[in-house]
Amino acid sequence: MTTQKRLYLPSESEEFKRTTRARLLEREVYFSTDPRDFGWVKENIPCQAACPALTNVPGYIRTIFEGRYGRSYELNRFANLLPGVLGRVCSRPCESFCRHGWEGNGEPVSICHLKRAAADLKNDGHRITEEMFGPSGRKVAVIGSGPAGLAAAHDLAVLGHKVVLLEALPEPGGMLRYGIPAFRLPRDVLAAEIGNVIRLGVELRTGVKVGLDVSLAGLMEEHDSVVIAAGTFDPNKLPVPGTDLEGVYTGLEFMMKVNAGERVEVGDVVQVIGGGYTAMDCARAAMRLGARRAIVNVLGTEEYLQVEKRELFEVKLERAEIRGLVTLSEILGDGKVSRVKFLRNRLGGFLPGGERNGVPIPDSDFEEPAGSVIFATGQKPDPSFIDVDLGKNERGWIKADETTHQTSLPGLFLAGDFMTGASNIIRSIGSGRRTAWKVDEYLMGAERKKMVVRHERAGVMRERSWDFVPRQAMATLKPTDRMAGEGSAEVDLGLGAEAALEESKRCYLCYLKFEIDPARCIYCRYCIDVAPKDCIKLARGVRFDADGGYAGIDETEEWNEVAVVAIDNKECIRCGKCLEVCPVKCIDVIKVELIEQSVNSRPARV
Amino acid sequence: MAGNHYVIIGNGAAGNKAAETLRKGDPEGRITVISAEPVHFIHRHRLAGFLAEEANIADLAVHPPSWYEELNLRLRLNQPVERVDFEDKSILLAHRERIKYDKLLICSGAKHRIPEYLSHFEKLLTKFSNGKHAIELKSMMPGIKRVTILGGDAIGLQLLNAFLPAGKDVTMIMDEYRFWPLESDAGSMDRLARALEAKGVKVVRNDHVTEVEKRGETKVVSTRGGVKVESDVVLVCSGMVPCLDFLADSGIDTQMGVLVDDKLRASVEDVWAAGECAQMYYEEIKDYRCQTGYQNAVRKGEKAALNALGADESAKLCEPGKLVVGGEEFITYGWKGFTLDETS
Repeated sequence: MTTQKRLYLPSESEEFKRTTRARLLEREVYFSTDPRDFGWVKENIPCQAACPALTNVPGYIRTIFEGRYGRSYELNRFANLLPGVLGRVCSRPCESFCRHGWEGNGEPVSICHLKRAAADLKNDGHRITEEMFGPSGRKVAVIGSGPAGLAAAHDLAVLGHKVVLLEALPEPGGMLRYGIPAFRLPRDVLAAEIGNVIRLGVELRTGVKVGLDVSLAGLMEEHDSVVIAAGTFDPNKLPVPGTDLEGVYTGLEFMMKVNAGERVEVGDVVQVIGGGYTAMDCARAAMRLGARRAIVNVLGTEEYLQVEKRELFEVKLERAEIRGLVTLSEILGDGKVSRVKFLRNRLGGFLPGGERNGVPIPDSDFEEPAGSVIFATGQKPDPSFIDVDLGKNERGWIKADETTHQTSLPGLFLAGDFMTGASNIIRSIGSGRRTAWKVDEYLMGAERKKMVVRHERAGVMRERSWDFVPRQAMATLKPTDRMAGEGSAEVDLGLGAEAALEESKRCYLCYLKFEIDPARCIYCRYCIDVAPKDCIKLARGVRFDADGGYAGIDETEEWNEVAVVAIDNKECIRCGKCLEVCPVKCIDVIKVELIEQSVNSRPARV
Repeated sequence: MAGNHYVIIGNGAAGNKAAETLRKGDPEGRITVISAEPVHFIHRHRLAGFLAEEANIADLAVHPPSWYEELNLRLRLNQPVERVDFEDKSILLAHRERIKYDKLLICSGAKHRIPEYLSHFEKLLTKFSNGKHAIELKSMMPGIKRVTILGGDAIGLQLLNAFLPAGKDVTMIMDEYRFWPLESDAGSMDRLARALEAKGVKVVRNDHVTEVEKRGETKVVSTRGGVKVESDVVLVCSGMVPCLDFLADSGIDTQMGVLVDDKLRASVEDVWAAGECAQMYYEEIKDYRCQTGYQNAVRKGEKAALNALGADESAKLCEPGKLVVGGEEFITYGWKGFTLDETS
């Protein structure tokens, strides 16, 4: 780590001419590939950095505030392709990192609900925007039409390649269609957004099983490249006696039946094993199928489940139950499941995903009735259809290079959960898109898209009073209406325009960079006096990481050591109070956005 | 041991007994008792008696204010704890004051449980878990003719001692699977329902509430099975939940309550928990319990304090109490028990 002590750079110096400020003095917008600028984005826009698809969160929230819902939808779609879908079922890693949720700042912004608001509130006649490359003459097959496959197919089509999308099941969507229940993700929303991918010229072939109807080797011969995005369709079952009894399902098997419209006979009491979103979906679906009780049994405690608290509330609102500190030890029954045996647990250590383990207590067994048992204990990739020789990783899965996503067979790439194991939708989309770029590089012999940091002059875009706007609640369907009919009515009703506006005000707009120009600062410190947070500091200098990224401010309380008055953008809540009081107007506000750009072409996707 | 600052969160039976025990064991130590309540500690189990005119408000106080002075306890009433920083060994109060501790005893008790499926109607529901609730309900008593009790717990049964002799028309819509804190199965729930019916309570079983509406001054409770009950008061009696909001994301192990071992030690060093907020595994019943009841709180408060003073004493499951309704006996862990048979 180095400290750049001399922050005042003479305007005639070469060093000054390379700074963002100097470049913005010459023009309104400046694009950078300087590692320090990427480092700034990573450190200062935590929501975007946390998103596996690098969605421009402040950008799309600001456009909602401006009432430009279509633009907001597009800003989302540029990065994550399926805003209407993700606005409903994203695991929202961004919200855990939202600066508004940091200690003392209140609750995180409802980033996900705003994503849905953009999708819901855009005009019916909204026109989607794609910057298509010319036809490349190359042909790529993508196996699997789940989120990773759709993302790969989309980007490959945009890059001008002929894409064939193969789906083994009757409808496209993979886990989105067959794993998630309609009451969380309406099928018309899913179909519309899949349609936006297919109509780029992607040839969708459903009901085609690779390994049965066509061979992978054959696909490799017929195409210039093949991407396997076949997801994780091999469910785990725990090694306990009784798993072969009638009435024992895997979560995937159960949800596939439910999502295919089957009225599964679940019995009075449904015992769900596992504590992820699939487990919650299974319990909620079971209640809709007429179960009197659906109990989600987890090893650790509810607090550490990797499921959003609001989702847990909805599960319990529908009268399903969550029981912690139990381990399933046996499933009992005569041909059909009738009872289950558990052991009580003590709370154990942390598991890799952030959950807590449970350690069974000897001689603590107890039995309970069960009409059915559902194992929602995860899935893994099923490589049984692969008929070519490929390298394997330590888990026995097909191995691919972590950067290029290419397997040991040139031209064969992996994407999404098939490569990494079960993750989440947004991660799969991010993976699918990255794979597509790498396939393009493989096919065309050069990188044709890159990420750049766009800088634009801006001003204060917030009011201090907005910091006290409460998080807007999502309206939901009445419990009785949820269970009516087939139980497929959507539970979340969306934020209306008014609530979306209020929620959009809450965003700190962390993509705004507040910077004091040391050449003009007179060290009056008025800005420090009015700052509502400890965000403006007397400093010896600014620290940078070895890779050039911003690492923090080297503070001092000794007046004779002060080289600069610096704004700590990690603490800054972009209230603009400092600008109001600055007598010499030495504080610049710059909008910093991470965007995609075509190599050697004009800026795209601004 | 001199110079230790013991902080007790909670001014109930467990907290008071812990404070008394600590003072006995450490005459010089600083002891601070923090309570979110604005009033002194009262006997919660006598609140139903207060409603039934068997006790007056003065009878409910457990200790006079001078008790705290005599024991040299620093009592902080009406000071909700916002969070605990276990690494820093400090407590942040709602008004942003930070209090450091050397040893912490969490005795924060429990409050009424509002099941999630009733949460949408919470504003229309009457609760009964503290003195304020009791005073409010008592003021309403003359105007009440019809009472509906939702859920099922021993507090609700105690309240029958006030409602039935006063001639109130009582309907109980019972939870299907639990009757807090009774040891219940389908058979015992049936027996309880029959015993209550024999006493004149209308019991709705195998059904659940889907809606509570207000029509004029009347509240209408609807069930999935199509039952509609009109009431002047709808009481939610679905058991108690430990008061642990201030421990969210603090790093201490919790489930329903603060998870403690048999010495009442929490997962964090120098922290013990006792009373209704402490959750312990009991080999006798092969299950965890946040045990309730005055006797339990007193015993666990004492044990926790002794262990905080350096002892190594194990806590035990309190002997089961007995609840008698219509000649039927039901087991209740933690409560001493009571009978409904002497009132009607």
